[in-house]
Amino acid sequence: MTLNRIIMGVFGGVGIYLTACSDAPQIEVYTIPAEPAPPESWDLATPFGPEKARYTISEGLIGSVNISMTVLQGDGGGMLENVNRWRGQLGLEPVEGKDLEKMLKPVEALGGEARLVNLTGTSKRSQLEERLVGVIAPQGELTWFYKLMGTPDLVEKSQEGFLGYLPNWR
Amino acid sequence: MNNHPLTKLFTSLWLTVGLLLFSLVIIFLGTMAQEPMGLNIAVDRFFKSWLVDSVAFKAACIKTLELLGVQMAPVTPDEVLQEYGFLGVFPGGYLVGTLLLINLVAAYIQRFKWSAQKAGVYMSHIGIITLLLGQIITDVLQVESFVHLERGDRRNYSVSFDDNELIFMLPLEGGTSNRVVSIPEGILKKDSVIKHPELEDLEIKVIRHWANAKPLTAEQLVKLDQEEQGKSQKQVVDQTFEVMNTRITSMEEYLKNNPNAEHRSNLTRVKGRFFEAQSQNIELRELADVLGLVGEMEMQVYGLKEDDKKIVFNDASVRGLIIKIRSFEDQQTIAGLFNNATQGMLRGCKLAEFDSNATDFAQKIKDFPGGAGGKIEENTGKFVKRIRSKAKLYYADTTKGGLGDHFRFMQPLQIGLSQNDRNLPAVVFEVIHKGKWIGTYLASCSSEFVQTVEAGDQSWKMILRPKRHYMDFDLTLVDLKWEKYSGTEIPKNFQSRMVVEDSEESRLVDVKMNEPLRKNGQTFYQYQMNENQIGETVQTVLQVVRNPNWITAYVGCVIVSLGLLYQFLYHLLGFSRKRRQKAEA
Repeated sequence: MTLNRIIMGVFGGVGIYLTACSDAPQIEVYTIPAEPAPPESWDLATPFGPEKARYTISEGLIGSVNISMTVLQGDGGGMLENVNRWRGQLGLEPVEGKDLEKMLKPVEALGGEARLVNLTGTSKRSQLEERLVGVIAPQGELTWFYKLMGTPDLVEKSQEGFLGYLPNWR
Repeated sequence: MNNHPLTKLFTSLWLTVGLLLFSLVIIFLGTMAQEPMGLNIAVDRFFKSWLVDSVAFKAACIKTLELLGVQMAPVTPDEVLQEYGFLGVFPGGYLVGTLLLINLVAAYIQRFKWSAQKAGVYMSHIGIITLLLGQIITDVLQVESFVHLERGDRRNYSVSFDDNELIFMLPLEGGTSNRVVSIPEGILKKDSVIKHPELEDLEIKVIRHWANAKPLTAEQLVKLDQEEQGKSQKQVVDQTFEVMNTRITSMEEYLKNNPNAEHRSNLTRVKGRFFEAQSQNIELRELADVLGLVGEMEMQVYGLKEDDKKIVFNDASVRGLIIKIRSFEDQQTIAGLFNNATQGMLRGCKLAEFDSNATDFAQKIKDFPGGAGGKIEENTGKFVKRIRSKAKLYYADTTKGGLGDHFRFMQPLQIGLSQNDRNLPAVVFEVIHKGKWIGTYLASCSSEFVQTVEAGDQSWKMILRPKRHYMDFDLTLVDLKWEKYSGTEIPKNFQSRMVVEDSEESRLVDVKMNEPLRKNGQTFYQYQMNENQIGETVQTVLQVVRNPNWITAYVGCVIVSLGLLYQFLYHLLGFSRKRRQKAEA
């Protein structure tokens, strides 16, 4: 009889265990860190080329701006090359390495190496006056490039929200 | 005790053999069923079940018969996914595994008599029991998911391959975290009412559920109708080509028996034109030209007169096909006209407005200055009737929420069962707060748009998405490599370089094909690489396996190995001792 009891015990035990653990769907409740959201005035847009994310802000007669984020491996070509690329987009002459430091400002919220550049010129694409606020933030093996570009007045208006969102924008 | 029938049954060697045979049959049938049912469903229904249900069994039998040359209609995805409650017709993996386990344990207890000579055999049996038990527990506890990363992406969650969840989320005080109520898609069935203490006074009543569906705007609905008319037209065009091909083949046969160099040369030219037209997406006029050429060729070859009923263009069935093609073409034109005439007016419109736009369009065609013509009016009437009934059929009937306001219609899609198919479920539900109706919302896995549900003084965030499994660390993809053997497309190396970060560490790791990352009870295997449209490797996919029971497989193997080693050494030493004694004697 002992063996019978053991057999029934094993059978019943496995059965109860599997029934109890069956994957019948159940409502779950958990807590997660809040996911950062961009400012409400930003509209989601389709990323262009290597960009990872793009937003736009349009304000009727004032104009519009594009906000983009790109991540590249290593230094992504370096600070000087990228600043000159941005200058080229605004029809400005490239600068040399010795003049670069004067143009850059640190962005402490993104780490010691992050730098901000503020440029105004005539956009090669639209042939209108545009302003560009760019942030280059190297971190470990990657470098993040954030760009706010468009009508100067709207760039000025959007700059605070842009810089405020950067530390959470990954 | 040994004579009890139950004891006899469960300690019987015949039972072992029988169960092993059943295992073989289950493995065979489960493998057969993978093609019609998809890998995951077949595994669940054959191996992770007590009894194999009738639909799964039928799917496997039909596939097996197909191998033997007997053709039968396969089971449909709808049949496979219909509500459970099928009749169990064959033992499943759990039943056979449990019976084997009981058989092994019972035989072990009954026959166990301690002796050093058999200690290794006993130990090996304990190892096998550990493996069997471990496998059953792993089946229940193991969770598999995936994480997709592009360069620079940071994730603290993986997503399920098959499971989806309807999320209701509220920010907690301080705003640094969110309370998430995750409702599995499995319980979002039509007419079900969902309540939960964490949903507070919210009540969710499911109106409709689609296992796979595409949200459509009104403009997209009209475009879809246009495409469907195009597809139907293509089918009839193909049928017409088929008829012409048969006619050309008959002429070739005829010319073999009645040679004529000029006719043969002309026929070759017509055949060339025919194949050229068949390979292109030609218009009705060009199709009629080719039909004319084939007909004229028949007149030449068979010496027929132009009005002869035997000629292809005089054939009533071919004329019927051409009329059908013409009709499909007209319907596409009318759908295009409707979309142009209602430019900007259909955005976000409800069913009644859509109907009224369609009716107005028909009236405008009727009132066209100078008259549009009876044929056009008739075709417009046909179009309006069809598009209205399609709109009624696909109408989601929502009243609130950004997704439902934008996409008013849902197109049900064929349910994919294969491992690589990702179905996009959708659900329409009513939200009731403290007994007061708030609105009817649409949620769909095809959109990452997070909607807001305002109820009382609370603002819930809501989305239907693939089920997430959160991790207590972050993964950031730094770089990825997809190397191929030179001159081939055969992968040589998949490699993802990542930063693993948590409160204790931040380290760089390389995950390769046979070198997974192990962290906090999860194993990350390099699973897949995806390319973009210009062939650059841009995305890595890691398979994440969380198996709290992983140790039992290793423990079981070690016990079996030690048992076998002991048994081998015991006999080896005994044998060498005997030889030595014999030599000494």
